[in-house]
Amino acid sequence: MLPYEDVALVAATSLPYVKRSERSAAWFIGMTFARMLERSGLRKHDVDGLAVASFTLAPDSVVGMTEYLDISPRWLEQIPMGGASGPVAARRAARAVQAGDADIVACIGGDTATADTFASLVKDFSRFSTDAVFPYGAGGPNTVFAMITRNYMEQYGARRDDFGLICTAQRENALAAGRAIFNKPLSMEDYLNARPISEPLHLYDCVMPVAGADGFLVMSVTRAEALGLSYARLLAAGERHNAWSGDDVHFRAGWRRYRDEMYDLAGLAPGDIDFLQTYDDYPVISMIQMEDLGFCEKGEAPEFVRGCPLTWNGGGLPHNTCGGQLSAGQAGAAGGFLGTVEAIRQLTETGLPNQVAGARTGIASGYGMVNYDRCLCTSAIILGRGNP
Amino acid sequence: MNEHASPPAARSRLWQQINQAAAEGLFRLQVCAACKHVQYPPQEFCSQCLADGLTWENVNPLGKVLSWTTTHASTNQFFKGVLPFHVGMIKLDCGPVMVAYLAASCLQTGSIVQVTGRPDRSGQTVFVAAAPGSDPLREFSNILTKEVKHDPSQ
Ligand SMILES: [Zn+2]
Repeated sequence: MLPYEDVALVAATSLPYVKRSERSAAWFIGMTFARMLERSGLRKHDVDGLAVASFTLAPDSVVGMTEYLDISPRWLEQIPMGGASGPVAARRAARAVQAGDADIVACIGGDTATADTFASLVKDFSRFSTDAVFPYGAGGPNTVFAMITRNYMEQYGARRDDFGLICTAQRENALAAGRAIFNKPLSMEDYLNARPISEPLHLYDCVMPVAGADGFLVMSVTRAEALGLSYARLLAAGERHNAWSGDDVHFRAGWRRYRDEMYDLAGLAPGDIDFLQTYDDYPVISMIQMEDLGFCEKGEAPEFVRGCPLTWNGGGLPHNTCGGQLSAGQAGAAGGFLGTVEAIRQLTETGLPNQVAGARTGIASGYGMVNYDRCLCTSAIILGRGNP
Repeated sequence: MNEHASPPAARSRLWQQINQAAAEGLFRLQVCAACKHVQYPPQEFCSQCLADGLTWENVNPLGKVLSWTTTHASTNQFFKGVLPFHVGMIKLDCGPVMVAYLAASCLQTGSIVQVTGRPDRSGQTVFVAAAPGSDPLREFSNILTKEVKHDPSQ
C-alpha cells in the first residue's frame, strides 16, 4: 500500500443534531458545506471534489447536490456505507488528492429525520432484511444486534455493566463536550434499570435516530499550510467489507484484516494512540472494535473496559470523546462521520471543553450496513496532529 | 391489538417459492445444483460458486439455537399488540443461519429446534423454531394465521 503522504484533514464541522426536522437531507449537507467554507476561508469553487453519504437524500444524490450547491467538481463520490462512510470518505478523498484528481474534497455525511424516515429506512434496508429479518418484529437492527450481543456475552463473559461502562463514560464525555442531544448524566444504575428494548439490549444500548450532518475537508498539507489552517495528518487508512462471512454469529469484523498494515504505515502501535473514536451503534460493537483494532485481544474487551477509564480526562483510553451516537443520537449516515469529525477536532482545535490533553494521534473507525445478520462494512483511519 | 394492523407484507419475488412450500407444509430452500450449497435468504445465484442454477429442494428443517432475543419494542402497530416475543438465530443442519421466531421452551444456546414455515397475519411466510415435534402455531397464534392452508395453488 502506498503511504498517505501530505494529506491534511481540516475544518471538522458538525451541524447541531435535532430530534426531528422538516428540512431535507440536502439542507443539512448544504449548510455543512457552507460552514466548512466559512471556517476554511475557501470559496465554493475552490472545492473540486465532493463525497456524500446519506440515507435520505433520495430522489437526489451527490449529483443533485452539485446543482444545489452550484459547484463543478471533477471528482464526485457517493458512499453507500452508512456507519463506515466517514473513514471511507477520508481514505478515498486522500487518494484523489494524492493523485491530483482533486485539490480540495468536501466530505459530508448528513440525514434528516421526520416522524417516519427511520421506519421507512429499516423497512427497505436490504432485500435480505426485507425477506428474512424485518418480518420478525420490524425491530430494525435491534433484533440482530441483540442476538450478536447475547452471543458475545455468552462467549466472552461480558456482563451488562461492562456495556454500561462504555455508555456511562460516553455520557460523561457528552456532558463535557456540551453538544449532545442527551445532556443529562447517566449513572450505572440508570443504565441497568432502563427498560428492555430487545433483550439483552435495553434503552441506553440503542441509539436514537436524529437529523444532522458532519463533514470535513481533505487537501494537501501544503495547501492547508498555505491557507493557514490547522490540520490533522492522515497517517493510515483501511476498509474491508463482508469479512469472515463464514462466522455463524458476528464477533469480529474487517478491522482485523488491515490493522497491522495501518499501524505499520503510521509507524505506531495501539499503545501510541491517544484516543479512539469507535462506531457505537451498540456498545458491543465498540468492544469488538477495541479488540479488532488491537487495543486488547479477542474476548478481552470486557476486562479491558473494567480496568481502563474511557472518559476524555480519565487517564485511560479516551473513547468517543464527544459522547458518540449513544449520547448524540444517530443522524443517519452522519453517524459514520461523527467519530472522524471528532478526531479531527481533537487534533486541530485548542480549548475544547473535552480536549484530550496532549493528544497527538487518534483512531476513528466506522461500521455500517446491516444487510442480513451483521453489518458488512468496516473502515478506520489513523490521524496525527499536523501543525507542530 | 389493533385489528387492522398487520406485520410487514413486503417480500422479494423469490419469496413466493417459500410461500408455496409452506402452503404445502414443506421446508424448501434453494440448493445449488453445482456445489450443493444451501442458500438462505434466497437470492438469484449461488453465493459460493456463483452458478446460475439454484433449485428449490426439501431440506432438513432441524437446527440449533445460536442466539436469541426477547423483543419488547417495535415501531410497527401490529407488533406493539403482540409484545413481547422471542426471535432466534438458528444454525440449520443443512448450512444457513436463519432468523426465526423462537419458542419459549428453546431459549437456550444450543437448543435443538425444528423450523417450520407458516403464514403470519400479513399472509407471508415466516419461520418458527420450536422443539422438534411440537406445534409452533399454539405459542405464536397471535402472530400466525389461524388456518394453515394446504392448497398448493395459494
Ligand atoms: Zn454453488
